[in-house]
Amino acid sequence: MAYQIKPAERQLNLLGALLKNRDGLVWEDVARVDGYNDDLPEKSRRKRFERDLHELRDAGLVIDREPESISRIRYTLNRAACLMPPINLTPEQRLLVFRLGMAYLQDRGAGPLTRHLSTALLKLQAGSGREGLPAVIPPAFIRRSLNRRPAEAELLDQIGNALIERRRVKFPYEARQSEAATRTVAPYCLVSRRGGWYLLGLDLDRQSVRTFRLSRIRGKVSLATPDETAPEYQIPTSFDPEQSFSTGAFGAGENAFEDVAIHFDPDVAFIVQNDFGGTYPLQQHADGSVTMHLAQAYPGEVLRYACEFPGHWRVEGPPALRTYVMQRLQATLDSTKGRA
Amino acid sequence: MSDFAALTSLLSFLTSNRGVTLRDASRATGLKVKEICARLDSLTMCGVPPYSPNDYISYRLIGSGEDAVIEMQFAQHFARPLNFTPQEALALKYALEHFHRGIDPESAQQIDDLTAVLEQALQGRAREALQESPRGFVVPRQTDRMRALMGTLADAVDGRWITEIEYFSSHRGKLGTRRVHPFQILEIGTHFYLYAFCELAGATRHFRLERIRSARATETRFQRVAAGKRDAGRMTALFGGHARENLRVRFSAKVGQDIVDDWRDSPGALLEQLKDGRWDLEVPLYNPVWAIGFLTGFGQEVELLAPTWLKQELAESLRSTLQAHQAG
Repeated sequence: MAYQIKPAERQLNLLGALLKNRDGLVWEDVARVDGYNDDLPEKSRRKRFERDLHELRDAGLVIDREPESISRIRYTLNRAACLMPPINLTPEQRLLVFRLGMAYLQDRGAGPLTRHLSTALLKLQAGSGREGLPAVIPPAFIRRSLNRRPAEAELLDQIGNALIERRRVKFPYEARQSEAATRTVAPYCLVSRRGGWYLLGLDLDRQSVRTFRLSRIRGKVSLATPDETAPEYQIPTSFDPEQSFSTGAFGAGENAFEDVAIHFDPDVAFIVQNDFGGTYPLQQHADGSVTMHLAQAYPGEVLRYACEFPGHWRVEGPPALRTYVMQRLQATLDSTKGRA
Repeated sequence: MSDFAALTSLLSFLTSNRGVTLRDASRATGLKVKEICARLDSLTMCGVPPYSPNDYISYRLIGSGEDAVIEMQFAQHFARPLNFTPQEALALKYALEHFHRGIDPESAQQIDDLTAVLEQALQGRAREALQESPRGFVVPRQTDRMRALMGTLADAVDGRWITEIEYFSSHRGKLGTRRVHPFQILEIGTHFYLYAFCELAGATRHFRLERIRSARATETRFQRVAAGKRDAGRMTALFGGHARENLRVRFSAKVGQDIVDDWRDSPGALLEQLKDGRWDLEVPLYNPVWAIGFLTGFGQEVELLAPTWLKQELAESLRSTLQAHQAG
């Protein structure tokens, strides 16, 4: 049985022929290329060729069509548009590109970026000339990951891919205090907060930018118009995720406490400095302790962070928050006694 | 993206980087050696008319095992890679931005420089994607202290220097000094960890980076451990390691929705709603200190069911925090 050439190999043959023949190809040339030279009728093989041309264009190739006569077209690869210009990278930059690959591509740390990042890095390392690899290849000492919660990984992949492709998505979403409903969204960005991801995007039914917590998506994420292949929207250049969504670690909003001050003793003060130095004002005391000042904070977020340091912290203000926290700690303690 | 895009980019990479070993090609691409070999075999089916032997792409491996050098033949016309697609430009931009948020200052500067070079060099839609797109994956920026610490530790990993760290152990509730053999810096969930062999514990450990007060490389090098031993560490993060027992907790109906959102479909997590609307959650217990913080955050909306010994630890933790408030 004859070898059945796979579509990717056939398309590679076509690209190879286009690259080698700078004057371009006419159908008679294409018909000699493996994958288009089998025994099927010419009409079928021409259709196959047109399909492949379409796929090559989807992959970013620019193939010019120049009619030579009514029935004869010359196909030429637009090399200036298709081939990467020479990119001169310093040895340090080459090393950085290599490190980026090692940091993200192993163990699928890049999540939804993986496929496109992989080919981008290979192209970059090929395009930076001979010896694109660093002279000394270091061990993989940094591993980065976009994944937060394992249960969100698939959703992150689906929505992240749609974001890269600029494709609209739809999904069943259960907002707080309401029934699940299908939402159709043009993804603008993903924001990591409170250990999980949030999608910010244009809600097409409501015609405004909305926030969706990935963990509240119930069911599958799918493309809103699966037959479409081209990008479906543009993100406004004025869009700023920080303005559309509070990315602060302790939250901000209507019911948040204001002018919050939390004291951390010297044993754990450096951890707070590691976490928030330069982000929030930290008042350093002579004994090595620090007071962190927050314009706004939700008590739940304060407790979530500070309770990992039992006995090493206290709320200094406002008094209402201090009372709230103490009551909450006492209530939890009482309930523990009752059940122990 | 098609197999075509993956094959052409690999072909350009291998043609441009003559003499690359299978091992380094694997590290550069994120592909396993077997996958690279399979793709190389696919490439040998490709060629151009008139299909004389020199018109087919071919390769040979010089040497054996993962150290074998890949030598591509008759593929020189693929040496110059295809231009970036907009999607590739975006993926690279997003990855560089993400990398930038948690890396030492020197590397951050290199990222800025590389981005500037790319913005200059790329053309068309790829260039627009790089220049005009807002951030795609927004994560908190690590503080300068953390970035400096990452630089110190990355140098120690790279140089295989035994390193002394001052570390706040949650389990012990105090600072201590340890000598470690640093292997890797890992981002797991929302935290960064130093994965290292700890001489005090006599085993590998994951140290939360923000809990390292200081790190100082000694002048002694350590021997790198065998690859197979790398994963042998106890994982202190929530989603890995070997849990000896389960944490069982009951949440009020008021916070039930939050619990369902956070834990639904999580590996190893069991959720059950009671008739009165409350929710029971059972998860593997890896780290009691994390569990105490988690439970305290919910206050009286949560009831610890098991393990019983954790109730005592939770009560002590609550008492000490209350005392700190009363003393202040």
